[in-house]
Amino acid sequence: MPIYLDHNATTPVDPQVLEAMLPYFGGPYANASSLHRYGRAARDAVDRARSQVAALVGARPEQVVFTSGGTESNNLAIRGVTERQSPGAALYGATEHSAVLEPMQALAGRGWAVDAVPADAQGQLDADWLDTRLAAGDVRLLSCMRANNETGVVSDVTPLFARARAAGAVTHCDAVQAAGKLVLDVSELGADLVSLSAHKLYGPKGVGALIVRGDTDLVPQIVGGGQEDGLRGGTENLAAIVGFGAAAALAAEQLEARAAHTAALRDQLEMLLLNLPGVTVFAREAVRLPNTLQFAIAGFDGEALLMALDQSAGIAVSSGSACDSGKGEPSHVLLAMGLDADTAKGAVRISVGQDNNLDDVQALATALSQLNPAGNRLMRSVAV
Amino acid sequence: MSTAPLYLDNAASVPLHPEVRAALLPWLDCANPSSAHAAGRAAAAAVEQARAQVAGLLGAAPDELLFTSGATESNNLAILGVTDGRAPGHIVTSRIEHKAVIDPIRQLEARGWRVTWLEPDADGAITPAAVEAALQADTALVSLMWVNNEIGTVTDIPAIGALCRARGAVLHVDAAQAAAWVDIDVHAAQVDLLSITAQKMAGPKGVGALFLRGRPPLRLTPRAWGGGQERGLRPGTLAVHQIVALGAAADRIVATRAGEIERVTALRERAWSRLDAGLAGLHRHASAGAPHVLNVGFAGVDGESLLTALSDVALSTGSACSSASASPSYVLRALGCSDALAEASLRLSFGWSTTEAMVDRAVDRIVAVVQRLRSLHPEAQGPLSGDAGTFVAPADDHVHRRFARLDHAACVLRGDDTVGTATTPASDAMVAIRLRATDGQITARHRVHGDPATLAAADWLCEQVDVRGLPAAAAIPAADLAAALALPRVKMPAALLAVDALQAALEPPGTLRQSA
Repeated sequence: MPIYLDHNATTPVDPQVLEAMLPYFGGPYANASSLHRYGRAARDAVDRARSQVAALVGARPEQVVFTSGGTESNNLAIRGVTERQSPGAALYGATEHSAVLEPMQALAGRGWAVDAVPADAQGQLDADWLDTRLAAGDVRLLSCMRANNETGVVSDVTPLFARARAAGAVTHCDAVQAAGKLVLDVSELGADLVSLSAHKLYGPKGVGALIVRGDTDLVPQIVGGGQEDGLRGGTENLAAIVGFGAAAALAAEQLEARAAHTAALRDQLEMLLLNLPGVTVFAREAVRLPNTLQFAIAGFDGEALLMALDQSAGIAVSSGSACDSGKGEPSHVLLAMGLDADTAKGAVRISVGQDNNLDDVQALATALSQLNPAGNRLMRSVAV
Repeated sequence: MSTAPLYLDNAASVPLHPEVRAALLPWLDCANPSSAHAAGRAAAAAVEQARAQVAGLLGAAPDELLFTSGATESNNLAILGVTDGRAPGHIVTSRIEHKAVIDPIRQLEARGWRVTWLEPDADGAITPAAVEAALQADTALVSLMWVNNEIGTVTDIPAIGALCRARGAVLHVDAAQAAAWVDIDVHAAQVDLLSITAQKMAGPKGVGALFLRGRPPLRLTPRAWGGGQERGLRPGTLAVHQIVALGAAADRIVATRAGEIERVTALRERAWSRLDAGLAGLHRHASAGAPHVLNVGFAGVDGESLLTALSDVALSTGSACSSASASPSYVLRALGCSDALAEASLRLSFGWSTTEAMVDRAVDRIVAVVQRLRSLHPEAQGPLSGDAGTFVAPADDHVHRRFARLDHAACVLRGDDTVGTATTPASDAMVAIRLRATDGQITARHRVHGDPATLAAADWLCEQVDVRGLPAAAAIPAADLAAALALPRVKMPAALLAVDALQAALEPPGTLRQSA
């Protein structure tokens, strides 16, 4: 039986979410823009899901714009805020996901001054640096994630957003990993725009949302049809939106239980790992997501370790972001935290979920303890 | 009586086919296909199998396909992606494109691109000759739909492809409505970019694809960044279950298309011949189109009342994406339809779930509703057609409850009746109220041509005459009538028309009120 410890890449769909979705994969469920009764039934289902997603993050339903996922939400936020402006400055946290980094780099290609807020060894962003940069003026946008997908580090972004807003910048928070794992209230967060994704909280792939607060002026990136208040054209992805709503409602209900369950497993695993020789746990002193643990074993390559665990023990883990996997590059997140490239390339990310148990983490620790560094083919050597 | 849903709106969305559903469900719960572990690789393999299936449908190579969230995204990515970074030049498109093509092209127009908006010919077609005449030296992009979503006209894309290729213009084709009905070979047709969506192919909503010519490669700027999926051209975690379903839908179309074209064409002609036998004053828009679309205009009825009364039948007046806006179909207007006829046009669209019995029941409903609406017209002769129950109320509110019953609609005039009529320059709506003295009691009845609010307003006012007596009813201000029916502000003309018609009935014979 394979053991899945890669919940930050994607979560299984919760059986209750599946149950909520199933009716929408059958019957005459229609285009939610259609005026007839089937269209209106679809519209009602979309609106119900909108309320459920809003409730999870303390937003109002009309602030929820459904998208195809976190990547689209991040792009809509960053491009939507900047597209009709003459170039200014945009800032982002140094440990952001590539779905924030890359649109920022694209902005740089269009003449924007784009800068990363530096992070310390525990993944926390440098507020003083931000103050200095804001004081220099012309900062239009600040994008910071609430929780990091690789290290699990939870950033105290609220004061950063407060400073940026005071300086006249629009603030965006990638909360894809935080939603469902931490209590999240968009008003307390202080971000104008917040990205969410369903498939990180036991919902389906292919759906996400951007929370648009206040009068944030946003240029739609997909037009035609006028859906989502004109901010995102295209027939609503009905079943997936319903699934997202159900997943959000379930996450709100089970938030504490899930956090307690995953934290217990994670902490147990961390204890077992720290008994092994050569193990370093990253950002161990930081507040982290309850389910996430990233570590390296001295001398071992992360991707090779991942493949070995997968093939010999049937344990699915990750070396970092799924979106960056297979690229052979050290994690930019770990480099931003001051790790050297060699250590960073050793990274293995464990992200446990509600479906895991103590046997799963014990199995992982056992598999790792059986690795023999001396002469092991997984060892990096000069010859490799 | 059967209670099977009367779903004839397959051009808006085709119900998910059970075979496609069966393919989808096992993949709803799977790993991230970007993950390196075995579960991730299995998900990636499923995605690649679907890519090959879609390629098979279109005559493309698998590496020429990008998965997207649907045709709207595909159209945006194609049009904005292929023009990005180029100096503004010239674009050829048409007035009958879907909004998902029109809106991004309008964005380009605002950025300095010159756009030729082709008009359809009398049959609703955009002809190769019209495209050829529109091509200019700097035409960078031609974007046309293969099959029109509202009237079903089929564009001669292969002929246009040859023209574009010869002139060096990129050809983008919105094939959302074509993929299930037209045998598409993108290379034979010399198409450079082509959009499809699963929901018009009996697949799920939320997934589509863009064909991007690979040989020689066509340069496309992505619209989003981060993660590198789909060769960096369309990043984001792939929705595996939806993509697998798109692949299964494509396979199913390849296997069943020939038979379905024959079956559905017969259903369409059955619907038309039965409508034509039951009603006069029909206008069939673009009769030589794709098998699945029948668009018919009904002269002499109000479009909103027609659609409201038929709310038990799933059909539409045009594109679902335009339904939310009450403006009449721009496609039908481009064909030269009056606004009134365009509004009183129904699109019946057929698919795998459509049966003869469903067609017959829907046509019976349409005939009954049109006959009743026409019999309610103030200028109609003869008795009322149908009864309470012929009109189905879509909502349980004052207007719709009353609209569905119309207890005070009029019967035939007698010589001693007095009739007051009111019209408005704002629309072709007309209210006639008839007063009749019987045994010292004055009763009021109406005939109305107009929207549900106008019908309901006249009905309510006639009831007040019966209940409160004429003097009290005649003193009711329009604002009170509007409040009694909870009319929204935009429906205020309905209240004014009813009040004015009653006033006219009290004035000398022949008085015609023109409401402001």
